[in-house]
Amino acid sequence: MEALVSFFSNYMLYILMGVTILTAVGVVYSKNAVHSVVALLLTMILVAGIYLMLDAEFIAAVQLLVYAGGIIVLFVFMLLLVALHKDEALRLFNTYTLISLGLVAFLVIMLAVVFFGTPFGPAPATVTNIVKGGSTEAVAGTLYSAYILPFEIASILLLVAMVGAIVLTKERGKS
Amino acid sequence: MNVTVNMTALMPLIILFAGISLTALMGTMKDSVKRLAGLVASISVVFAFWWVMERILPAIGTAAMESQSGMLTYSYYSVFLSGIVLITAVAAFALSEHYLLEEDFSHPEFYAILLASITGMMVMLNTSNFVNIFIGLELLSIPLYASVAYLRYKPESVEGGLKYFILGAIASGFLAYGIAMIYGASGSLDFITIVKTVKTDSLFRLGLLFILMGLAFKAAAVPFHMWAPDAYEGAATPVTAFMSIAPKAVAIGVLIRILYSVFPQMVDYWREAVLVLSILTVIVGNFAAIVQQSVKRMLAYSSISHAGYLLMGIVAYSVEGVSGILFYLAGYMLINTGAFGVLSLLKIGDDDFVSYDDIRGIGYRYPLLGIFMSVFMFSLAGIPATVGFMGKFYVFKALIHANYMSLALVGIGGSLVSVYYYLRVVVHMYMKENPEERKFNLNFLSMTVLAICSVLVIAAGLFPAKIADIANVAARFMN
Amino acid sequence: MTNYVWLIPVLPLAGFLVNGLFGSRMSRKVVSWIANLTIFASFVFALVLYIHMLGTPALSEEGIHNILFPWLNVGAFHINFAFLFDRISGTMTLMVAGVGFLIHVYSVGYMAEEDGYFRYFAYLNLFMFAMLTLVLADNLLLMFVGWEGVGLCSYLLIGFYYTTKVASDAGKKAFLVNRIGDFGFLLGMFLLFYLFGTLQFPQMKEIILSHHILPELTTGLITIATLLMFVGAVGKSAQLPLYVWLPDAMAGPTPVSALIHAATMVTSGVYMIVRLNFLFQLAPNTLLIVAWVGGITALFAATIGTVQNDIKKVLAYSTVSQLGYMFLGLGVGAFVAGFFHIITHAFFKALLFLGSGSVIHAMHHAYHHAGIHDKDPQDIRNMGGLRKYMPVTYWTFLVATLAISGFPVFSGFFSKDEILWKAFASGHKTLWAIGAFAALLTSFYMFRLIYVAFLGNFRGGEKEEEGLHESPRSMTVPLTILGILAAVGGFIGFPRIFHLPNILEEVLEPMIPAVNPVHYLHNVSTEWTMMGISVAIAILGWLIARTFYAGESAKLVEGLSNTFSYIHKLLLNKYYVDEIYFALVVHPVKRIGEFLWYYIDVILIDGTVNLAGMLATCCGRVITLFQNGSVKMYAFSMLTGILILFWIFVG
Repeated sequence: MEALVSFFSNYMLYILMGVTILTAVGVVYSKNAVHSVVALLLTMILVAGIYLMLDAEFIAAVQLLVYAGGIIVLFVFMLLLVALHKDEALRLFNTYTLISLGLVAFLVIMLAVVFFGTPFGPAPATVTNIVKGGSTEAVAGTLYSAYILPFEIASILLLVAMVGAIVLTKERGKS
Repeated sequence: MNVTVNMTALMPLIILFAGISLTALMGTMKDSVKRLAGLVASISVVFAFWWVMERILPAIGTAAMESQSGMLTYSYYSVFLSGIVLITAVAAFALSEHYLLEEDFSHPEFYAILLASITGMMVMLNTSNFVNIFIGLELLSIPLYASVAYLRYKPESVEGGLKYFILGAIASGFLAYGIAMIYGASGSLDFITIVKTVKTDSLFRLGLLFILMGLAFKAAAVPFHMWAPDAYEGAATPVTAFMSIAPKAVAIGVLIRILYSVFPQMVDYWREAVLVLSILTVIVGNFAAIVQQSVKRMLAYSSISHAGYLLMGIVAYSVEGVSGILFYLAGYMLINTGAFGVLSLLKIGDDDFVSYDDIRGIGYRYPLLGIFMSVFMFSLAGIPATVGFMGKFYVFKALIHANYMSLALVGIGGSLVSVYYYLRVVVHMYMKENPEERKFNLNFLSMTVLAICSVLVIAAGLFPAKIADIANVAARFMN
Repeated sequence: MTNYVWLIPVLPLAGFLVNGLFGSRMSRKVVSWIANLTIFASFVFALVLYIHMLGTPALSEEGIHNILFPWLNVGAFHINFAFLFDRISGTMTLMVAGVGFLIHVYSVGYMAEEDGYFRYFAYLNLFMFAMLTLVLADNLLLMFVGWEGVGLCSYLLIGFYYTTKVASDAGKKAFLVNRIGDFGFLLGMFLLFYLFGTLQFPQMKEIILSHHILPELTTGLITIATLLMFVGAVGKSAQLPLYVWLPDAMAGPTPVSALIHAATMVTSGVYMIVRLNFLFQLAPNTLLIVAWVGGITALFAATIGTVQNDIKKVLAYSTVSQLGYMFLGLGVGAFVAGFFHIITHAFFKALLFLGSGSVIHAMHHAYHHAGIHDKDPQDIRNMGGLRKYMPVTYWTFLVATLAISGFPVFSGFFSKDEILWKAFASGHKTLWAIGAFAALLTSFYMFRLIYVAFLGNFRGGEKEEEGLHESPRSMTVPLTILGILAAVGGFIGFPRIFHLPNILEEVLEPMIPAVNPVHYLHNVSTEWTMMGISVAIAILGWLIARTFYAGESAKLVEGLSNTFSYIHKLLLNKYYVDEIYFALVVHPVKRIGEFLWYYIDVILIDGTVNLAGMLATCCGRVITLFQNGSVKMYAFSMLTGILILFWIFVG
């Protein structure tokens, strides 16, 4: 038991990452649309877990709230509205997919080679710039001082996204 | 922590945001107010332009422009490009007045989202921080996706917008990935700090690669160009006009800034990459345009090929090259506004008559339109006495001075091929008979815009010195 | 004032522009006033400048140099747009503008009933502009501009009645043959630039005088250069073998023939050589060729002129012959004599042409009056006894005939005699003989004209005779003025042996440096003897003509022409030169052109272009195959892009 626990605690990050990849693949290769959405949900949750492992609690919380909470709900709504679950599954293994798979695999391997070859130095046991209040305070401190402008721009972006969505619902003629 | 808020520097963004809010609000009011939306949007753009030129331009380099710890930095270079973006915006607004009325689908929110796109462009141009680059790119793109899909009752419009969106999201993802890698490799997101730490090891190279890909997508460089023909063809023509100039200018401008100022040590790598991209772009853009049946789609491919010429200018890696690119962009703005502007007038109700067959005989039925279109086509082809020729001349000159003779030859060869499909338009306009007699409403505002553009095209083609000098100054002071 | 030399050519240019652009809307009176006024103003101004120049010691040496603006600046090649009004060009300008003005006035009357009135005067002014540019240019390139310009105007004016095939063909022929000469001029110009590094006359003179010509640039190259320039002169001044355009050019209006093909344009070749005298003096071989070409042409053309029946054709061949005289003079080193003959020839030949125009005008009227349409008003066999009806025309024509034949006191005597004397005195005795024989023929055919056309009885019908009358004052006044000039014009160049001042020689001598002086015989008694022989020849020619043509000697002429029918036919058909040219040159060139057109243009070049187009379209189709609308395909291509970049960055 002890061995198992220690194994997990040392390699939790990598296990999470591995399972995330599996669920992500599952999003793409599920035959059923609902299965895809569920796989996506799981991926989001697992990514939140990865963030936790990297001592970024704030981002993990936001990930869960926004993605797992908001976006997946949106996806489910879409499924219902478009009755996607009633569609037949598409052929998933044609020439495109196989070639793409091969190319992506190649890309991943190349990336791996690059990353492993980069002299990063030893990984710190803990992230050194943690402020007393945890990553949330660190993020807040930076976000609302140095990065206030992008923050505001992002809010404009949100506003505009809404306006854009509204535009796409307009009727012809006198509105 | 203290934050320095520099109102002068922020004003253009604030003005544009005010415009967005106003026009969005106008969507809730009565019709007579709604009709003014284009005017309000244009006023806010003009006001922002005035502010940039009058308040910001003289103060560049002084302490008065220190802002947001490097988030917002103006230089002659970024002001030049901002000017191009803002002027294109006004022209696009002017053209869309008539177009949308003819479509009977004119909503103030249309102007709001275009204004938002412009704001994103301003952010992306006038910054020295990768976060702003990314955010600016998003603010630029997302409203643009919506404007492409604006005519939502037309399947090609929605299709174009959706394809643009999906592929754009992928590209944005790659851009973010690249920025993250650069951050991981250098420890900062600020240009000035990154430059000091850049080495040519693989993490930097990868990061730069992905950033390059993200920006090349926006500029519609091959092989990241596939979205462009569908998006350009499906969108409302004034939106296409805007889309073919402003985002491209921004993408190329920011790309130059990043490559020259942040990664000069990696020149050997990115130079080769840009060279390959430019050759592919010029070849694909030009040859694909030959076989098109629709003038609008042909112009989309032509835009792709012009991005290729601009990328060639980047390979030159000299002030001369950048100056040439900036001049080219200024001229390109005039020409494309004009060409798409003419197409935007060929409209009756819902239908756009923009195929080669449809424009037969236009030269005689609407002589002014024929003359304008001929001027723009000649300029696109790079015929002397037009600004298009001068732009290409400057870019190729820079290339030759940088000893890239064969690249210049490829560019010139591409130009040669392009003469065919541009002059095909002129041939169809003047030398073919059209059995259908269509009556187009030649809106006064649009015609004025076209007239101004064509006069400037020829004037700048014959006397390029003024604009060339400005471009030169802008090129020398990139930071 | 000296900065306004450019006004002299530009005033007629302004006249051309106004008449050309607005002439169709203006009345004939206004058009003619504008045209005439500009030339008159040019003439007056030139006169004022001339007097001023000669009076100012500083200017009289080098002339008035009026640099307008730098024209071409390419590497080491600098050409200015500049005019040089010196003794040579000034004298020529006076002649060109003066005679030109008289002809303009004459044209008012002559063209009064023709269509295209304003077009005529516009072209005439344009011609004056080109000619004056040619004369006043300070460098060879600008002179060439004028050279080409007069060729163009010649084409335009010869082909003035362009609706008739004869006229338009003649214009084409003139232009094409001129072009051959121009080719020589151009090549000569290139070679001269290579040798001297400049094309400006003052600079070239300076280089030659200061012996700065490097020894490597042997006289061989200079001979070639001058020969090439002479080829240009041969074309422009209608010498053998490029004279064939001049007789055909008679298809144009008669005042045009007077101005262009008698007084001004055809003399530009001679003028050019006089201008470049310092250069030609360096190439004695070229000068020899010039003299012989001139001499042979003089004789050759004179022989043809003896049997022609068209009054203008006689005068045309006479012009070719007289031009030959001028070249003869230049060739033996007598530049002043050649120039002298230009001036006197301008007087009497212009007068002869204008007189013939007056005659033709009257014959036209006569035929119109009688309702006859098939008779040629220019055929002297239809004329006769015109003295009675056109006294002014007759008397001035007579004066001109006396001048051209070389009767003493009249202008032609002095200039022709000087040329023949200089030819003899420099040792070219054969050339002198040729020239003398040609003079005999000249006297003969000119008096033939007088007897056949003006004396005796009219050979037409009574109705026609009623229509004959003297020409209006606008035509007779210039005739009179020219008559006076033809009579006394020679007084500017008295031979030394008369012990009277030779004004022309004094004026021009400083401009002709003794680079390579010719040794002339200085025997006074020989000179008087030769002069006597010249007079005798002139009188002999008259007597022969009188024998044949005065009174009722028609049978004698017919008999002679029957006996010598073969020779007569040969001369009448101008030695069949045109036919020979067609067979040797024109026809083969046309065939070659057709061959090249079909095989090379249609098959080779068009084929290649079409092939290129097909290839491009194919490439385009292949590329658009990938644009199939599928987003997956698009994303796939992006992936490919990433991999390419990867390969470049990391691989």
